[in-house]
Formats: sequence, structure tokens, C-alpha cells
Amino acid sequence: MNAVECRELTRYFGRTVALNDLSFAIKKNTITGLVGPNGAGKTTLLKILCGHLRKTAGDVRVFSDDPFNSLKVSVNTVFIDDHLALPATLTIFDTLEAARLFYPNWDHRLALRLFEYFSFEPRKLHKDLSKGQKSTFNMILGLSARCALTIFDEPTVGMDTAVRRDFYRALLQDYLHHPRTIIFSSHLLGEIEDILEEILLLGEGRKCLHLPVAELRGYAVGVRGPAETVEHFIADRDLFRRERFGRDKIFVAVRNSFSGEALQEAGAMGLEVFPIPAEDLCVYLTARTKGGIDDVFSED
Amino acid sequence: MMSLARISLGGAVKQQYLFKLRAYANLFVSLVAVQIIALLFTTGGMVGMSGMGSEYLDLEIRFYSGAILFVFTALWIAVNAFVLTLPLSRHVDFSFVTNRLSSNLANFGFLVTAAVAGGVTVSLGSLLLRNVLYYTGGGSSLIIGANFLVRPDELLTGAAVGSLYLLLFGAAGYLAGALIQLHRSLYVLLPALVLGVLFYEAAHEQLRLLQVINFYRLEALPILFILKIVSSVLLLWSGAALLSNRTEIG
Repeated sequence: MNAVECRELTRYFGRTVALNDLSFAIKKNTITGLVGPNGAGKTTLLKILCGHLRKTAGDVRVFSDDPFNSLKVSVNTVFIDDHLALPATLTIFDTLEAARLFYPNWDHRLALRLFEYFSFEPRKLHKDLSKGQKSTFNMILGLSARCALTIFDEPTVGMDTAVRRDFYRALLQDYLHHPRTIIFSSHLLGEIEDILEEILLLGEGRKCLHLPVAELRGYAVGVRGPAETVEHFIADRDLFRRERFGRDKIFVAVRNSFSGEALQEAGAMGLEVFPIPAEDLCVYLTARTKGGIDDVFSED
Repeated sequence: MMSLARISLGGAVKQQYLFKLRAYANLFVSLVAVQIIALLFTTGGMVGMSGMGSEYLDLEIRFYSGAILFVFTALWIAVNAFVLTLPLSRHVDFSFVTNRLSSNLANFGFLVTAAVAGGVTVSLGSLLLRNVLYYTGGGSSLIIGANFLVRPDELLTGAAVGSLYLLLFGAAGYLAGALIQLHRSLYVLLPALVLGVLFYEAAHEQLRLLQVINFYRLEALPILFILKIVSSVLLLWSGAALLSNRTEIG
């Protein structure tokens, strides 16, 4: 059963296309990381899923409903980003109390315990919190609402490393006890990939990849060595990246379709072969050029 | 495994309404502030004054009226109704459980509450005004008794009529807000249009605007008066709800 389904979902802002023919499905009770460079359409997608924005064309279903103006989607979805608008007049404690009344599955005990753990001053106003504190408070809202679809859009803005780690732990703990569909968009894939099950990679409004994280990890290998030997070794495999370094050495990232023997041979040929981290692969896959920023400085 | 939660439109509206009462409680403080300012204008400035005199006699008549109090309160509700339609207010609604219809309906509920609060306080404010005049204006001997005393049923009627008019102003402010959200240029065009009509009317002494006002003001039958106001308000609200039902929460 799918929590989210998109078919040929397209969204324009004026003449700019933000989402382009996007088709994918997210299974119920999974944690999906939504990744991609700035401007890939991540936020647009998430805001369509929670009913804030309209689609231009295609089909979008959340719990089999069109999310735009759907109360069923609204009561089962919580959307947390760093622009979360909360009433300026309520203290953060009263804000928790208010949110409690909206969400039928709200876990107030969890909310209060997290509130205390992160040493929030109950009588403070949301606008008086620092950037990182705001993010932390919003995260408490998002977890405690316990919605069947929980969306975090860049939730860690301003959080320090310790709080980010706590957040990931809390998210995972709560998910294990109360499985639900979580979509998490972040630029820090390296930090969150351990808690993710699936990765949906967007680039320029299109789907680049949608894979279980485990598969993504073995998806590509890096090969480094003398240019000619490397070219010969990789033959005509899918090339994701090519960077020159030193006088005549190159580094390439290619689709990993090598046999075990081939990889052993590589060592003998004086090549270094190593796995490409998911985070780097995502950068390569969504880059406009195969050489990255180096191309800007290259003479040819 | 988490089962899906359910909510009815009525449930969502009720929750949003209660939330707004808490979140916008400060508006009722601003209502009191606005009315105090209005009373200061009334007792200090006066609505009208005529003086006459002869060698032996100097006569000065001062008219006091609750009109300024009402006008200020009407502005208060119109402005706040307008603010409810602004993107920031919508954003706050959409941070919790809502759709566009339930957000609008909760706003209407809030405006009814605000109108009743405004109507009652305007009516009571006129009592306060009389008291202030009594103690500062030289006691009962200088005040016309027939106008000084108010019967409770008059007070109640005053509150009801005041609330209904305020509801109308609130609905107008709300529709204006919903209209302006449609396109950025309307931020300039709509106020310009309203001012333009006012100036035109004033310059040409045709005052068709007065006919609109008289449509409500001169209605002698209470039930028809109520019907006129309520149907106008419903019309304005439906317009606003339709206009804003496709709004995006950016």
C-alpha cells in the first residue's frame, strides 16, 4: 500500500518548471530521504503533498486523496520546515497545547519530555527563539503530532551537531515505536543516510533515482589512476564523473557492474578502486556537467 | 502501524475557531484601547456645538454622540478582518489542521465573536460616556435628562444593532482582503478605487453611497433589517470564500 503516489506530476511557476513529469510512489511506513541540489523542486514537491500548493498537471495522491483542500490529508500530515508560521502571541508551551487539540494522535507526554530535554523555557515566544531553537521546537511539534505522513523539509537549519544527532536518534526511536511514513529532505545526506530506508533524488524537477539506501551505496565505484589505464578498465560503463588530478591521472565514478575478479585485476593494474558514498553519488548524478566546478577552470 | 485519523469539516472549523480565540485574544485588548481613544475624542472634541448669546445671556449647547465610538470600532473590525486574509494569517492556519474552507469558516466565526464584542462594548461605552460627562460636565443639571437616561432594552437593542453593523463592516473588510490577495496590483488599485468613488461622490453631490447606507439605515422593520444585514454578510463571505478557495500557501 502506498502513502504517496505521483504520476507525471508537473508544476510551473510562471515560465519556470519546478517539477517536470515526476512519477514515483512512497510505500507506507518507510523513511524516505528527499535529496537534490538547490532548486531541484524538493520544497515544491513537499508543499504539493501537504496541500499547500497546487499542481499544474499530472496526478498526486496522498492516502488516495488529492491533497489540495483535503481535510483527511491535513489531519494526517504534518509539515515542518524552517518557515513554520506559529501565532506570535502564544508562548511555546501554549503552542504545544494548541497543536495537541488539532492532532488526534498527538503524544503530549513525548512533547513534554522533549521540551524538557532540550531545556525550553515554557513562557518564551516562538519569535524570541534562536534559529536552532526554532528548528528544535518545530521538530518537537513534528514528532509529537504523530501523523501518518510526517514531512520534514530541511528541519535541521541552525541546529548544532549535538542537537542534530539527538534529533536523528529521536526520529528513529519514535519511528521504530510508531511506524509511519516519513519524508525527510536534507542537504546533509551523509548525516541522515543511516536512518533512511529509501532515497528519492531530484534534479531540475525530475526524478534521478529512487532506490533503497543499501542499493545506492553499492551503485557506483570510484576508480583512480593513470588516465589511459582507467579509461581502458572502465570501458563503456555509465560514467557519472570524471576529474583530472596531477599531470596525467584521473578519477572517475562509474556504475558498479564489475565482477569480483575484475576488481582484483584493477589492483594489479595499479588502479585504486573504492566505493562512492551515497552523498557524493547524488552530487554527481545531479551535476550539470561530468567534470563539476573544474570545468569552469578548464582550458578546453 | 498507524491508522488514519478522521475529522469532519465541523470538527476542523470548531478547532480552528477555538485556536483563533486564543491566538488572537490580543485583538480584544486592542478593541478596548481603540474605544478609549474614541471616548477621549468624544469628550474632548465634541461632535457639534452651537453658541448664542445676548447681553445678559451666554448660551452654549454641546452635542455628544457615540458616533465616533462606533466609527472607531467599525474601523477596528474592518482592519482586523482584512488582516485575517493576509498570507501570514493563512500560513498560521495551515501550520495545523485545515483546508481553505474550514479556515474561512473559522474566520467568519471569529468575526461574529468580534462583532458581538464590539457591539456590546459600543453600547456600554455610550453609558460610560454619559458617566464621564456627568462627573466632568457639571452634573445632571446641565444635561438633558431625556437623553441622559437609557433603558436596559434600549441598551440591548443598541448592542444588537451595533453588532449587526459591525458584522457588515467586518465582512466588507474580509472581502476586500480576499480580493487583494488575488493580484499584487490590487494592493494599489482597490484603495484607489474606493477613494476615487468617495471623492467622486463628494464632488458631484449625488451621493449614491448614501442610498446604500439608507438601504440599511432606514429599514423600519427589525426583522427586515436583520435579514438585510445577514444576507449581505453571507453574500460578502461567500464571495471571499470562493475567491480564496484556490489560494496557495507559499
